[in-house]
Amino acid sequence: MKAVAIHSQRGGSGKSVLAANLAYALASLNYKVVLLDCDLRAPTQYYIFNEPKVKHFINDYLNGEAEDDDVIVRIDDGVKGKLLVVFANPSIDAIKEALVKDRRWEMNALKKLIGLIKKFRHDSVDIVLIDTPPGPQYSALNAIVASDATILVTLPDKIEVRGAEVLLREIYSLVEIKVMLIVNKVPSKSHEEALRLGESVVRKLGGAELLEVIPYYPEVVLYNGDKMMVRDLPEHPYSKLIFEIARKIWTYL
Amino acid sequence: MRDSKNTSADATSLLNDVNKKLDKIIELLEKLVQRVPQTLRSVADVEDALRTGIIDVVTLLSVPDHLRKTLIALAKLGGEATSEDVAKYTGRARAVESAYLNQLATLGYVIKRRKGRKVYFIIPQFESYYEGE
Ligand SMILES: Nc1ncnc2c1ncn2[C@@H]1O[C@H](COP(=O)(O)OP(=O)(O)OP(=O)(O)O)[C@@H](O)[C@H]1O
Ligand SMILES: [Mg+2]
Repeated sequence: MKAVAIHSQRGGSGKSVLAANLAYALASLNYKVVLLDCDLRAPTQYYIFNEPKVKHFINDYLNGEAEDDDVIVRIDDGVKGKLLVVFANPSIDAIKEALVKDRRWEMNALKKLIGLIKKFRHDSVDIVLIDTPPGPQYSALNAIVASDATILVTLPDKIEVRGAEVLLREIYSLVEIKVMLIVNKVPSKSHEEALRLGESVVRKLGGAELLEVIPYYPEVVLYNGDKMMVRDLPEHPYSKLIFEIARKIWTYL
Repeated sequence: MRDSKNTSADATSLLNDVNKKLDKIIELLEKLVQRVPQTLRSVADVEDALRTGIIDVVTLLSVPDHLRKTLIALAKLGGEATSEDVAKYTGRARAVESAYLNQLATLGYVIKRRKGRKVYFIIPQFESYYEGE
């Protein structure tokens, strides 16, 4: 089993949508997948999965108020494998609470996260995908340290690439973690043109392997929160690229 | 044919000997390293960790380079493990991990506890969060 954190230096790079679609694609390919929302300050998976019934959130588990089994929600919409999601609490009170946690709480959260991932390993899960907040925030760092690899999502512009550089140098290299790069929202007319842009980004970023280059597709914005691309529009080029990633990610891990 | 087999067996045992000796050398070097004063930055971090009693992810990221991998491995193993467990996890020699773990103990990041014939290295904060409350 591999645990993979999905991270970026700046916000809005497309981590959460990617995490959800990739989790769904992997489960459709018959893998047993866990998707963990570790962005306690801006929980998103709850909305991407259309506000499901959730008894306990990851917040409760990290607070010591719920057991690991109680926070796992099984998503049953036609996937061949298994898709288990652990949601972060989207209520404003929970977000406020997460904002004022201290270092001692974060230390314990790391320990609990490591424990949770261990449990999934024991339950023969194939892959755990962790959605994280951007930049070197506590929950992101905890997820990265607890994982085996990171997917670094970046836009192809100069500021984003600089940010990615900083993460590679100041964070990922310290934990000696495997880094796979996704260049997202590439403005281009063709995938070939996008690939060229993506490759120029990788050349600037030593120490990361290019996993995929994803063009900017307006439909991804238009349907966000309404439709899940890989489930509802499997023939869309975005979905096809996500399936491509789901098939080839194993050779990188 | 037989000859070449023998030679390869000899070579393997020779390599094993060399390996053992290298482990020994690394162990001795590590003992030496322990006596070299730490950099100012890591001393400040250690003091901070000891003062606050907090070993969080920021602490893990700021320990001296050569010890970080060992401490993170120990955390991932649940905060309690033998040098052998850690070596299995990091893929480095047991002697190396043992030296690093002892250094971490000297610095105050971890404590050592003997259980029967085995010595366990423990990140105390990882085991006592709720009990301490
Ligand atoms: N390839 C793409 N083309 C067009 N829009 C995209 C693409 N990928 C993601 N988006 C859109 O970008 C927006 C932000 O995506 P998302 O919420 O996944 O980002 P994030 O990195 O998780 O943000 P945050 O850092 O705030 O958590 C969404 O509207 C999403 O639909
Ligand atoms: Mg997000």
